[in-house]
Amino acid sequence: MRALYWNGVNDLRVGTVKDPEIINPRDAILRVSLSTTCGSDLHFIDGYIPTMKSGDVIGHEFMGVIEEIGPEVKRLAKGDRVVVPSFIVCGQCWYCQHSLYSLCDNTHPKPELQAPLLGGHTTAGIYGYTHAFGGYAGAHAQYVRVPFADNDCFKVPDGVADDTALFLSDAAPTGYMGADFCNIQPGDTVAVWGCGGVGLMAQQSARLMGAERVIAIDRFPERLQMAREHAGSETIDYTAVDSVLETLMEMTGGRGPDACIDAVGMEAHGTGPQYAYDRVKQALRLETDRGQALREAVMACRKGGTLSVLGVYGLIDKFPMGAIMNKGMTVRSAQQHGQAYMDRLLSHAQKGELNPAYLATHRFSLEDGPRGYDMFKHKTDGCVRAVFAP
Amino acid sequence: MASNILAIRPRESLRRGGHSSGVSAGEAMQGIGWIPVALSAALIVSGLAGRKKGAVALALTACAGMAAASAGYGVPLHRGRADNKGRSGTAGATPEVERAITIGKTADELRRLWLAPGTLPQLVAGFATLHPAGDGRMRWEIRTPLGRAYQWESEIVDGPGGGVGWRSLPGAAIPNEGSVRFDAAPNDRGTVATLHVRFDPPGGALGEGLLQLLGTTPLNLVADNALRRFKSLVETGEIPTTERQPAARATTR
Repeated sequence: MRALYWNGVNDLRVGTVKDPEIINPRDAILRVSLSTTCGSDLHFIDGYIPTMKSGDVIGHEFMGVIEEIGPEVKRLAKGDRVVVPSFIVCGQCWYCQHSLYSLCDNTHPKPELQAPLLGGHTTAGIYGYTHAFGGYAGAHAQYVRVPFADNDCFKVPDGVADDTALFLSDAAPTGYMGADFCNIQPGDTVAVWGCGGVGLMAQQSARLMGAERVIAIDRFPERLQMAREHAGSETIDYTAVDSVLETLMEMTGGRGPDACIDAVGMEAHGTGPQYAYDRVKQALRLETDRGQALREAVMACRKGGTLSVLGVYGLIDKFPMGAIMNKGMTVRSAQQHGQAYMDRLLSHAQKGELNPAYLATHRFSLEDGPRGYDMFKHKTDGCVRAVFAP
Repeated sequence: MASNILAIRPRESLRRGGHSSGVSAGEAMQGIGWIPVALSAALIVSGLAGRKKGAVALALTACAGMAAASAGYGVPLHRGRADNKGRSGTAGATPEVERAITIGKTADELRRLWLAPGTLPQLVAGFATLHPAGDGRMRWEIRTPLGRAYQWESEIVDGPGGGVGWRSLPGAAIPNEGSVRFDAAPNDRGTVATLHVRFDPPGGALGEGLLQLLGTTPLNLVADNALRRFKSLVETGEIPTTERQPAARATTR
């Protein structure tokens, strides 16, 4: 089959690789209909995250059609149109049974590459996203193997188009979870740093959960426009104001937002040697805007409010723990527990309450994958997400 | 903390920087050369931003932290040096490790599944090849990267605390013994499985073979992986794997 793979730092290629096969009895093989880029992919493409191997097929946000099922798959059949959350979960461990799916104990085949960096703990495995996160082949390909298919494939109802279902794989559940963390009450104002796919989904989700106002913070005009048009957010261009903090305080009558969602991150993930990179990078740009996002969110949040962290971090310096403590804040964070939200997300999509298809600003054949990632990385032509069809 | 490996008693002799069992010899993985990259970047920082004296210290601290982390866990950094150092440091010590994991099954279920034919060979695959030899005996075979093979047979014995034990038969190339015991975990957490492995038990000889063996894979990693595989096998019926998957290279795992 054809697949997009990581050949080396800033070197993506499309080539022919062997087809995936059923290995374990609960596996399924999915014929990929659509897959899309994620900002977190850029970190290993740029060489900031280690544990990639030349030839790794990448991609963790996708949907498609069941092609083949293993002997222990009970709830799926060939031809089912499904969306697959990015984290592979067993459905049976203590974490899965407590809906903490991205913490699944049983889907990481290479724990020795990750456990040392998380105090001996491991996350669930992810498709196409470094060997520290399991080393599973990714979904920018014609076919992908989906372990524990009964838990990880969700049938897409009629009336929900492929390009809507696609974003229920990662961007939508991540944003939705971030809003869910905020325990939104009537009258609440939610501020969201970042208007990429996840940030926009968090804004729409906050609305769906009853937020009175949503305030979005970014610097790209086309993304701020999307926030206004699709999520009904008020917007702050942080390059156009003296102080985001003061602007937010003015907009909220001096209270501060009831909840603050960080959908920016530090261009880093929770694995090892990139910790060093993060710190060097922070050192290189001590006043970086990205470094400021999380701190700004802490400082702006009202007393007793919630900080919801979706951005990915390694180690962060000058984290204002004193403000969190003295303001009695609640901090919530996780990689996406997509399986916990998928029924609700599909229902919202079916009713037209959540339509993330607008994130698909640019479409490519899989053969043009490297060019798609290049446009996505440089935000060329207002690119929010590049979508690939094999 | 439920369901996680607890490092209860990793003996000092096993604290070796070294290989990760997830990377076989000859496989290239991005990230091995990270410390030099970070150091170079730190030097650039010092040149570009002399006013930020903290920057270099910051970067160096990060590097030191990584090195420390890798020393205890087998992240593939400083591979050669750690091995050489480790070899001389290990001689004369007793390689022994105890690790635990929490599994969502009862103690009775775990005891039955541990003893089921075919379980143990799956748990130590990649470290040793096991063949049932009748009467509960197992034939073990370990190959070093240089191709030298060590074999021995083991028998099942009662383990401490009502657990299941095994020990190598007299004349084994690498005398060893081990046991696993199953104790109830709090509330709905299931059962704690504690694995104890000891090579060269009293009366045995610690030979060159053992040193080669431990140079290949740190014993605490073998124990951790065996417990994780056991947990996955009994909780889900399968062990997670990336074998035979697509990738644009010869060894696709």
